[in-house]
Amino acid sequence: MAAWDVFHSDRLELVRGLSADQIAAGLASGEIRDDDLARPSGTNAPWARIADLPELLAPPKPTEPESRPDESKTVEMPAPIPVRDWPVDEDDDDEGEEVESAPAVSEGDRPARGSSASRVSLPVVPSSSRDYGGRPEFDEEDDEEEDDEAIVSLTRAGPAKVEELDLAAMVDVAFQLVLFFLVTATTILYKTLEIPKPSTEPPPGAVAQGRQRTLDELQEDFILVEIDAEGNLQIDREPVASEMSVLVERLRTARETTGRTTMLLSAEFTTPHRNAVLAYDAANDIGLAIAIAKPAPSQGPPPAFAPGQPAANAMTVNEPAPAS
Amino acid sequence: MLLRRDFNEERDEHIDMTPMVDVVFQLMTFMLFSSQMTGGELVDVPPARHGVGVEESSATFLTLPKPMPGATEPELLLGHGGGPSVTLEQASAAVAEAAKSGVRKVILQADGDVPHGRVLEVAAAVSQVEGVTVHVGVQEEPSGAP
Repeated sequence: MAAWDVFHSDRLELVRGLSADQIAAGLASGEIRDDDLARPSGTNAPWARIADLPELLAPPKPTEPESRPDESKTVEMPAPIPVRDWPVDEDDDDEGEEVESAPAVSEGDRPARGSSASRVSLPVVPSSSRDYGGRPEFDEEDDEEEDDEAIVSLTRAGPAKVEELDLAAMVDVAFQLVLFFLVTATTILYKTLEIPKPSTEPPPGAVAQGRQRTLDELQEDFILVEIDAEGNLQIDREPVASEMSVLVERLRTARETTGRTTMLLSAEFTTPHRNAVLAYDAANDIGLAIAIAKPAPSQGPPPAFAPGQPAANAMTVNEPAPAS
Repeated sequence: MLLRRDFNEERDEHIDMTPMVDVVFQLMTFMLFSSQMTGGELVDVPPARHGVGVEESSATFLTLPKPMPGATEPELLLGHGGGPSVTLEQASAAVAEAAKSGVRKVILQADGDVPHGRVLEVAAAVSQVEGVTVHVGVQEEPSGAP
């Protein structure tokens, strides 16, 4: 007698070794549905719906549902195989014989049908058929149909339309430019020359001495650079062309020959500012410290020179005490 | 109310970027102009080979514009040349106020034609403020200059 494995597709549960009449009883009681899958025990035959297996659908007696409600509960037990082979006598009435005869008949037919490929093409519930390899054709067809719906086609149907330009790249570049200008606008640097603080008072030494030092005295300690109102330059009382390279060269010579390391700039009040900056720049070029003589207003008394404090980055100028 | 579009209606896959591009170009133009304005000097400061860079936000600016012909006293302006005309005392007060908030540099943007004595006058006045360093504004030497 053939035993069957039944797969309950509703609760995804596999029950092995059921006899045909147990299946029939289960069908009658509703324990097994005809959508559930079955195959002969111990074979690799494809699963098939019970509704499509005529040998399992042998018409049960109308009284069978009432007579075997309890047995259908025990369908899940693997034991009932021997019950099939033995005649059922005392508990059940004679329907057992008839029920048993049906599988006996079907058992002879089953191997031929069970292995037939025609079962493969039978319609089944798609959701439960996915995990079982019995119907590859169906699975593939289903997948293809689903794929056709799911794939978003990138090619456009119909004639290609000329649409607006893709502006994304231009927007990227524009944002880069905006960022660049934002960053550069916040870090504007002004090029400046740091100048020593001009002191408004005469240096303490001069006050103590009660006199002001003359240019000749100062020339011993400083490289004297004078600029008159027209912008003409003099280094140590010798005229120099107002040109950067010449000025730098003369200042370097003066430093090397006399060892003086500070430039004292004495400009007329009305000297254009750019000439004074030229002298500053020349002194910076060779690393001279800078001292500034305070010019007197043009209408004022003769100039009184007060060397200012040097710039922070310049050398400290120590005013030497005048010889007594 | 039907919120779904018709199936047959062709979907518009592109976001309309035209307004964004417009705004971006407006921003670009604004930044271009504003950065030009802040960098441009209203006075012709003398050129110099050397110099130190000072950030705009870390310095107080005083401007000595090109003297007008016939003017007796060269003007002193607060700020980048657009500021009010001030006296030496007012300039010193402004510098002292800025020094309280940590801005301890003063940049004198003096035109190349301003008398150097006037520049030193202003420098002497503002350097009365404790802890202030004085700079004179210069510009890069024009290319091609010897």
